[in-house]
Amino acid sequence: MFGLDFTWLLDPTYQGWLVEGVWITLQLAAVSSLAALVIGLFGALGLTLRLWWLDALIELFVEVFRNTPPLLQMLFFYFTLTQLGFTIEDPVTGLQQPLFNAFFSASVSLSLFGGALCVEAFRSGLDAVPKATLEAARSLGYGRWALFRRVQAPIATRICLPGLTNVLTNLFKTTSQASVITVPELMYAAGQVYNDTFRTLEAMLLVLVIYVALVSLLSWALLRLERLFAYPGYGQGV
Amino acid sequence: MTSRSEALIELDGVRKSFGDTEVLKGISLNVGKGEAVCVIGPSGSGKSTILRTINGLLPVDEGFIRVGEHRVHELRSDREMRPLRRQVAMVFQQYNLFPHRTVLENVAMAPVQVLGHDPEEVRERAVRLLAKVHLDGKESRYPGELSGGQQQRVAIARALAMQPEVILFDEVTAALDPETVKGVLETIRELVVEGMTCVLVTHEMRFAREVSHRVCFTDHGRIVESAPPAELFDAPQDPRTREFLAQVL
Amino acid sequence: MVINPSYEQRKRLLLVGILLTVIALVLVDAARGGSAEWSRVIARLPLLLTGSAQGWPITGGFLLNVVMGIASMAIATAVGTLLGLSLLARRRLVRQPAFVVMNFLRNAPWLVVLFAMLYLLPYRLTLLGVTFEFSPLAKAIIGLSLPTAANFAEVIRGAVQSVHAGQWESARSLGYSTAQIYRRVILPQAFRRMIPGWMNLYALLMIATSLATVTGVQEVVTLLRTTLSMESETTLVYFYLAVLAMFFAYCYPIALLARRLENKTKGDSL
Repeated sequence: MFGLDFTWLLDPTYQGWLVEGVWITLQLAAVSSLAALVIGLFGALGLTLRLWWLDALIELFVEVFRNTPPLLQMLFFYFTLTQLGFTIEDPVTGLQQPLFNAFFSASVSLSLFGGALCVEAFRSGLDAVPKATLEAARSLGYGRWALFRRVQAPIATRICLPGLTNVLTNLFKTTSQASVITVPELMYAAGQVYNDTFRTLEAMLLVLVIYVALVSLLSWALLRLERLFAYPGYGQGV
Repeated sequence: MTSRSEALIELDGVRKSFGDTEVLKGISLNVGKGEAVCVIGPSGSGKSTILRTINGLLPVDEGFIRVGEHRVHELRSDREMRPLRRQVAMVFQQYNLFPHRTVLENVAMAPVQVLGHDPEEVRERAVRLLAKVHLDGKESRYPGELSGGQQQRVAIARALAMQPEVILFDEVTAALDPETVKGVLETIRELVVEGMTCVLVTHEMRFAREVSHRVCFTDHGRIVESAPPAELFDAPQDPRTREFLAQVL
Repeated sequence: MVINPSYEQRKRLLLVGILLTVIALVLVDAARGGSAEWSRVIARLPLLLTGSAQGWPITGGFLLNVVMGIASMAIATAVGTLLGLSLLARRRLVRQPAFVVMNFLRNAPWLVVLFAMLYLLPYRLTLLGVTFEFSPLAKAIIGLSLPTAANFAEVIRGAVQSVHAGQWESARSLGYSTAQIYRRVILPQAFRRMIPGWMNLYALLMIATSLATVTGVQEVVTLLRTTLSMESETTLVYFYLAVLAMFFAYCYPIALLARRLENKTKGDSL
């Protein structure tokens, strides 16, 4: 009905662009997910210290990044970081390359955004450990750190997995916005393709399907992980 | 050392408030070694709170608490309370087992991780204790796979594994199905017969009567009456005790 | 009088303190004639907020984001309710396609859906003799409402399923029909639990309206970028901070309120 034409897909040039785009998307998602998890872990650990000023600072970080558009965050980091003008020497060509390029800026920005979401996911996991279970551990003589390490953290990890799945799939989807600051990921590759072929709708539909497939795969894998870590008989509809 | 009497557990003038509500209005209670004391009374009378002050889960506002040589009211942090907790174990209404560990690990983890006992020795002890509470064969199950009564017996084994001098039982049968209550009560009875010092908060009047050496009736944050079970149940002195017993028996 | 603030009070005090310090610093700076950068931002503020340099009429800017957000939310609420109830339908023929649609839209990035809608929707569509014109703005609103609707469907499903199964049994044993049970028993209870999710979704949607810049709509990010092309590079950071602050000032209170409600409704389960 729309007269869709996908014959350009047979062209190896366009195939190459799209494959390259997927590859960059995966790299960007992997780097920022890992960094986000690390930030989230340290943030949540910081919260367990119960220092009111640290608590306030972490909350400030979380709320600022959660309540502003990641697109603007990315533009902000891109322009401010690249403006700093640090360069490094490319080991292959010997040319001076900007240290903070688009990919780097996008990674930093997405890591902080995802990190804020991760802190929140970990924190709600820790909060969800039943107080009675902690009381039982205290009455067995566990001190604060042992209690955290042996009882609270393992249970919280299990509880926060669904929330974490949401955060990571959300972060993966957000990587598409890096195209706006010219990171040559999948969305950007689609732009290249339709600028060349003028097949805008087809390119967009194809990319939409690829994204949905990748995100579905990711959330399926994380769901498997959840099942793997489930404690028999626990948490399945109390 | 610092004991004012021969009792193993001694509470004197213990007061505790939550916000504006005073839950304990001066509780005094002595429990001798090997004695089983039941605390009965209407809900909200502060029974569970008394237990939680004995092992320091709840700090008190006023009063004196001693368990063995530990002056509980002077201990401040979980670290300071560790030696106390080694002596006083507790079993909860909702079992509160660790859902992320198997039955055997639930019993064995605290002795290894908190007391630093030899893992092999603790393992043997845990297997023995599970057999004692009639749960042999369930060692590698997870708590979520057991019935309430089975979980509660694991919780008792977990308490015993700490080799405590006292066990506090906090309405341990209140959340159980009637048919599993019997097994749990049987387990507790065996402990009492073996001479374990027990403080039990319970709604099971018949059990209280059979198993305990002494029964305390609490109402509105005070111990109204304290006597051997035959005396308290058959010839209660205080009108409040009489009224309560008339309702529940 | 001895003031001994609690942990939470101290924390909040510090946060409010930081916020007030930032505002005070900007204001003091502005009152003193201001650094050149801030005075540029202030000069452009009416444009960024309303799309007109004089601040009237409203043709775009941040207020257009607000309008887009509200319009998309209205569509998403209607579509999401239908989709959500389809997810709960007992007929597989209704339920399964609804699942496919919901999962597809939930797993698709907002930006890509927005782009796809931009090209998928025709400029003009005649349906039953009525002609619809799809301006870029209309396309943006539809594009934003689709993922929101899918998420709202999930919120509805979660809320309805969180109503205790005993409610179903007791209502059925009283002779209510399925439709009646939904209307009289389940939905009134589920409704309370949907509200926080709905508000969170609105805050999320508001944040996503920034993506509409790719459709060329004169919303705040588009205006920001055209403004920046006319301003000197040194002002760039200040402009970005100003627009980030707009979104934060709008979305944070909503998120905060949603969390309060969530904590309040958490207790009344079962």
